[in-house]
Amino acid sequence: MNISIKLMILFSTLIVATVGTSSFIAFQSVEASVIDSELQDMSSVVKFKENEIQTLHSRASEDLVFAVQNPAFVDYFELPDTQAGNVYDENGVKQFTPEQQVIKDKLDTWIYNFQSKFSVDETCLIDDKGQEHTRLTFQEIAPADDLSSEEAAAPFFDPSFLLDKAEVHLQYPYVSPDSERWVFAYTTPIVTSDGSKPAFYHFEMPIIVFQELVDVDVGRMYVVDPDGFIIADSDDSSLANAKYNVNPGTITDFEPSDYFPSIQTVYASSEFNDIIQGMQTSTEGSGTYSKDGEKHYVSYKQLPTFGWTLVYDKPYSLMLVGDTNLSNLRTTMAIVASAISAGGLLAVVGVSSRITKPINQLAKECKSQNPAHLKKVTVSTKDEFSHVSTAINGMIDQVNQLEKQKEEFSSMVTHELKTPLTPIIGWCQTLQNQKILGPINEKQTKAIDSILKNAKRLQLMIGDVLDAQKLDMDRMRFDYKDISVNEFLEYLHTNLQNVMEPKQIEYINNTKGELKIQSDKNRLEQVFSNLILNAVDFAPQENGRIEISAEDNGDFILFHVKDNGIGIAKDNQKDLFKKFYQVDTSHARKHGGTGLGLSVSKGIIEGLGGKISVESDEGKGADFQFTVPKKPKPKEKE
Amino acid sequence: MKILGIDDNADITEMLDTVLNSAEHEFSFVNNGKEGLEKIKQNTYDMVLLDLSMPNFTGIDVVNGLNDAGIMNKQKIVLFTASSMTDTEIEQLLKKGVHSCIRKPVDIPVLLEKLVEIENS
Repeated sequence: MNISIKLMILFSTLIVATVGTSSFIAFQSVEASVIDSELQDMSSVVKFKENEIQTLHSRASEDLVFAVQNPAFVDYFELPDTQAGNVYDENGVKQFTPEQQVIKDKLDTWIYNFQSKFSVDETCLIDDKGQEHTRLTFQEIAPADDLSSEEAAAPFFDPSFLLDKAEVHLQYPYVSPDSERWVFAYTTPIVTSDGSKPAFYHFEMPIIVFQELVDVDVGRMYVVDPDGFIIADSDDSSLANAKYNVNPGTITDFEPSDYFPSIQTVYASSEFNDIIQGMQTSTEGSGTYSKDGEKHYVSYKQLPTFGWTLVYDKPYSLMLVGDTNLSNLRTTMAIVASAISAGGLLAVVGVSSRITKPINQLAKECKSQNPAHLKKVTVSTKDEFSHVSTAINGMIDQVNQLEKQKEEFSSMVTHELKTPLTPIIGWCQTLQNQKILGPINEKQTKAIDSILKNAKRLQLMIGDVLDAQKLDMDRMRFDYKDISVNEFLEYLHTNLQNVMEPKQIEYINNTKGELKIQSDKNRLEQVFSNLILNAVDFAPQENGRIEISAEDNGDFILFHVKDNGIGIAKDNQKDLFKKFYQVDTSHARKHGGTGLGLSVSKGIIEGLGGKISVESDEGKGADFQFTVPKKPKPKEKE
Repeated sequence: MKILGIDDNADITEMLDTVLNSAEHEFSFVNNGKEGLEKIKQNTYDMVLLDLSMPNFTGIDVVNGLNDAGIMNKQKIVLFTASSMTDTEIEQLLKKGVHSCIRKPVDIPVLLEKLVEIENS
């Protein structure tokens, strides 16, 4: 695996883990503190609402007390007419004396004005016998024949007479037969100057005002009675309308269970049951439960009246509402975390590419090196990597030094091996010319011929070895000259005549047309000599034939050296151009040589920019073909 | 042709002495470069067969010495060397006034032929 990929994986993992974890922790802590403050907020909303309810009650109570401060109430009951007791006609209708009527009219007007200022459904003045003396329902003054004499059955009747002056009794809700909806009543006694309580005054306030009080912008607020029925609910406007409308005349029949939904309808789960239990055992508290996969937060507080509890319920998604909420916050944090991660990843890519760039560059420079001319690497950084460059350059220096020594050795060997051959060949040939040093006998001639032949062979082999070494070191240099291919091939023929003659080999030149080439004549001659000498060696004893040809092939000249010799088995062809390779046959062994000829020829042709190959079959001769560029190939950049 | 051979290898100069004198050339030789340079300065030759690789005073030193003395063209300087040199390297020496180059080892008939060629050039 690449270092850069490793770094990327490592750092990416680190970044994602770090950013992810810190975002998660940050969100968790933000979430916790937001929820904490939201819960406090909820609790203060609940307290505020409780205050409002308290204010409602106390204001209603104050208003009631204020209303009965009108002296007409006492005046009415201190009238001898009133004190004489109620008088009814034959239909059971309460009869008012003119004196009573005067004061009653005053009271009706007073109450009328009072009712117009406060949201009360009904007001009523009831004496200790249960007889109504005046009643206004929705600002309608009830006529005398509509005044009830059976009000002693009202739930607030007895408690009202237990009160002192200016004390107010708040009656648990019931269905008012007059307003025909759920109400709760405020009552206070009328106390005359002698301290007696001949009557009480009360009014009914619709329970719907609670519905208005529990109205909240976010979340759900509701009021639960001690039996677990929801009296008012911000989520259920129907409570204010349909369910309050009950049949008239059922004043005693006001079981909340018949009209109000149970708190169990909010949600049924063990978590929620725990909250309900909390409401029953403590005056205030909070809790959470899950509903439809969302967490709900609940804050509740018991109201001072009727054992009712005010409950505020907010789902998670509505926590921190306003410009943003927690979900938005989570999304924002996720986006920020992603952006940071992405930035981090980009940085990682940048950093890792910075780290690996010199490595890749070094690898590239090393790959492009010519082993014969090692150049110092140019990668330089200001970090540890420069140690690597320095080390490699040190190594390159040493290798180049070694190469130089090899070159010097090669040059020395050339000179030292060839020099002794000069007198050997020279003396042999001098001896052969019997005019110079006198006659020699046949055996001496044979000996001298043998020395000369072997010296010549040695000369060729030295040449091959040195060429092979030059090719290895890429030190073979070419001298490009204009060559007439036709003249060159004729020259070859003449030059190799003495080799072909003994075997009476037929030399055929199939070249057509004038061909010119710019190449190294000596090296081309070397290649041809190698191929032709091989061909001569492997030619049949009789009717040996060597065909050479040159033809135009675009930017190249294509040469053929074809013989009718023993040919080369397919298996042996691929190794033919390898160094020191000799086809292992008895014939070949007789042929001798260093096994470098074809390898050197291949090196020369490739060095000139061409290609060499062979087509042959055992017993069917061989066709060596090679291309040589017409123009010197451009030198590789160094 | 009056020929001076300069070569540190006595076997070569002796062989040349035998061959060239019998081929009716007037051949003499020295076995070091410095002596060779002095000989050329003091005598007149048609041709000098000059080995390149010699200890202490090389063939190049001889060529430079001749150039310094301004007597490069007094005779034909023919390199007779076993060193592996490219034609380009030889050309540089030709520019310095060297006439031509014969590579060692050489076939005696070829050598004699070349000498005639050079004489006639």
